[in-house]
Amino acid sequence: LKKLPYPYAYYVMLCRVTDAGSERFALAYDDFFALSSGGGGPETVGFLWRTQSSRRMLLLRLLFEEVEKDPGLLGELPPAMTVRDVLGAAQVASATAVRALLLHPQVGSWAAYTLRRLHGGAGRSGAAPEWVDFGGMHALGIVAAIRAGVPWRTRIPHRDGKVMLFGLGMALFPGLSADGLVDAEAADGRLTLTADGMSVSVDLHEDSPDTEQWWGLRTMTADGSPPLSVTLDDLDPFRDLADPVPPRRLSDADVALWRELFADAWDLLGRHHPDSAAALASGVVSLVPLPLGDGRETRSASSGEAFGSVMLTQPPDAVTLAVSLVHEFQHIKLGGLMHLTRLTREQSSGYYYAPWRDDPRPIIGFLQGVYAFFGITAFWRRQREVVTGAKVRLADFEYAYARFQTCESLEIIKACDALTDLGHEFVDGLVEQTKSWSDDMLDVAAQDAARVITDHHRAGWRVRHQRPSAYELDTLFDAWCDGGTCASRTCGRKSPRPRPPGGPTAWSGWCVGRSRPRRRGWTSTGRRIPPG
Amino acid sequence: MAHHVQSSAGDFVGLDTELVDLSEYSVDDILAIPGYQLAPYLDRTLLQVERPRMNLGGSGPPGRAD
Repeated sequence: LKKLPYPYAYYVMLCRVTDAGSERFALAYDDFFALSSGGGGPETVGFLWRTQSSRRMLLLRLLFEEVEKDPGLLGELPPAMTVRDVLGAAQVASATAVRALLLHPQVGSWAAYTLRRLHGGAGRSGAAPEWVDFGGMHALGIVAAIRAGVPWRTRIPHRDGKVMLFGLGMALFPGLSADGLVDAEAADGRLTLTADGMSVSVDLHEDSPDTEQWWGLRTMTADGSPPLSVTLDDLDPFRDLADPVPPRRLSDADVALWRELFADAWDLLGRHHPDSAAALASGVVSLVPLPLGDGRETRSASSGEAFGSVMLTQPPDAVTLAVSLVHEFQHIKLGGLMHLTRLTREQSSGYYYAPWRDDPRPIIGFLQGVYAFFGITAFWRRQREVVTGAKVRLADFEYAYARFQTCESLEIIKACDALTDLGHEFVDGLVEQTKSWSDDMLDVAAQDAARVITDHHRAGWRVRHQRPSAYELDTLFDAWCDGGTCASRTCGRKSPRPRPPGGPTAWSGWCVGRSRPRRRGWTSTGRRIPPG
Repeated sequence: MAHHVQSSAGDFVGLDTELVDLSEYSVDDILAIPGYQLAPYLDRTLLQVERPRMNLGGSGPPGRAD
């Protein structure tokens, strides 16, 4: 460098410095095409995990920056520097263990919630003090230490007498209330937590049964080729979508039922949906049981920050569990892709008709729904080929229903201007896959029923949300006066905004109430209930 | 418009992304990188965090699920 003229030497030095953090991920064409055709095997999913690993590092960096700016965010906890030191030491001892910890889905949810709360986007009234959330850094540090075999002592926060240790389990201090601190020590493969004269000691190498002071995070493993192993997370405060939630420990009987359903669903996926199974095996690591709602329908959910985690109410059967896993994994893959690149325009403000929703959807939610329903359709397209007897008509109905929804939504989203060029390429990939769907011969009655329900939903949605332009009104009026007809099919191509809740137009599940009985008639008896 | 990435041999290998590849860095390294170098990636991540994706699904007829 000394031999170079000053400006050039400076430029070279600058380039070297900026090398630290200037290399962006390149999304291989094969991976993009795989995802844009609704798929994506283990290699593509593996790539998404690698990108998530870097993103977690950025989240960690953001958290450290915040506590550096305002050390008070940690309250009376030891300084953040101690966490930095132990993470560094743990990484030297076992980089694999630290990487796995950082990629734990609920670590992502915790980090994102903590940052979001600081920036005003989360934290309802009555939420724990900020240091309880930022104190998760110390919980992260102690788990890294125990996982990597590094001795360390610190203090970590508890929530209402409960201490969650990411990926391990929850220590319980029944005598403690509200929020406070416990002493934590990792040594010789054993983690010891102490507070208020009580001590909880956990041996990492043993599967500890539930006690009054310790609930271990359970796992479910389903044999097969490939096998699938996930945590059954009923503990972590950050296992849900938004604000922290208390644990909801499943009974042994519930766990046994979950394991049975899980094994059966995995068997079904492995035997009949091997491509989906291979992708799921490399991408889903956590299953969070949701509380049952009204008991009528299975609900599932996922969050972009908890890559690899699926939330689900206990399904009635293995098929429902299988299709729910496929559904949510579509969201997870697309969420991972959208962390990398923009498929929608930032400033888009339009709302669209989604055949699976009663309310108009913004473009990102709409695209997510399109992708998820593409996956559901593909599942039923295959599933209808492997069932027999009365189940054939039901599978045909499910396929026809999802196909109507997916194809209509693809038509709408293709025509909208809220996608980027890459977003259009992505959608084109899905459309290409649907071209062969129309060749499938379905049970006529099943197809008719699916059409009635989708038409009914569209009509109801239009009545409630569609706002025709003055031009359209004039055209319709003129046609009416002339005694003619006017084929106006603008549903979804406008940009209706959701009406404010609670007003005179408020509604809730208007279409569910009418279409459920018809659908139930199909699914439970195999008889067709006449439309109308 | 998506940008394409070329290998050192000049072949197009894929699409550029907005996420920095920190695979080879330790936690300590990342915390030591000057802020201005990571700023665009940190800003982008924070923006995503502030506008989270949360999807609710369901097995039933149309309702409140994607």
